[in-house]
Amino acid sequence: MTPLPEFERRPATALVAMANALSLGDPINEEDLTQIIRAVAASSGERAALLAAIGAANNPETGVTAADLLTAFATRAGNAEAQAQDADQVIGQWSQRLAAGALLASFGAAIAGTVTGGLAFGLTLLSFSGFIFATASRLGGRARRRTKTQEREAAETLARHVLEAAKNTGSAK
Amino acid sequence: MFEAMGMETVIVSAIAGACTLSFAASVYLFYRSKPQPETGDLDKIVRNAPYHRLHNILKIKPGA
Repeated sequence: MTPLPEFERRPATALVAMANALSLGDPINEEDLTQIIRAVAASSGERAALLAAIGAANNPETGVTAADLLTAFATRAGNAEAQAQDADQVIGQWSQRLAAGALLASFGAAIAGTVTGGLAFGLTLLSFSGFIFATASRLGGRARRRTKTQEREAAETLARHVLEAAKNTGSAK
Repeated sequence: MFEAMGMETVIVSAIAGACTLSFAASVYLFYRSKPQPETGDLDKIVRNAPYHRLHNILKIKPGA
């Protein structure tokens, strides 16, 4: 029998260790687990190392547990993504529209002569900067949403592949 | 009911109010999209993972 390969201590093997410890009933810090999963899903090297480790593991349940943890992480990322999208559509768009409306109103009031002088200028400046601020905040929110989308997709595909690797566990020996 | 206030006051306060709302919403969005700080050191978590539970399942190099 050929000796089993030895694996280094890295995020991928740490995830396998945590999944195994969870299935044995040990408590694991949720935040640490989330951080490890994020690190593994984001790096192609760690993903490959995880698949190799799951394929070499003697226990097929370890792979299933790891895939389940990854799926749960993907679900959480998907929820955060949906929340970011809601916030952008419900709050972000309306803050932009409010500021644009205020800008038009201040122009109109200045042209009609209802508001004059420094006050008209100040109002225009205020609403214009409000519009720019609202646009910038929407951009920030959308960048965060994209990050969450990437996390979700990476974790989902990795979970599928881990399941495949877990199926082949044991047959290699 | 607005006659007593004068046209200028009404318009100025309406525009200023809309801008305040818009600013508040933007600040809230910025606050939401701020990336959450990482809770722990990744290296430390990797070092302290429960590798001893893997002794029958996967061979891990003995750590430093």
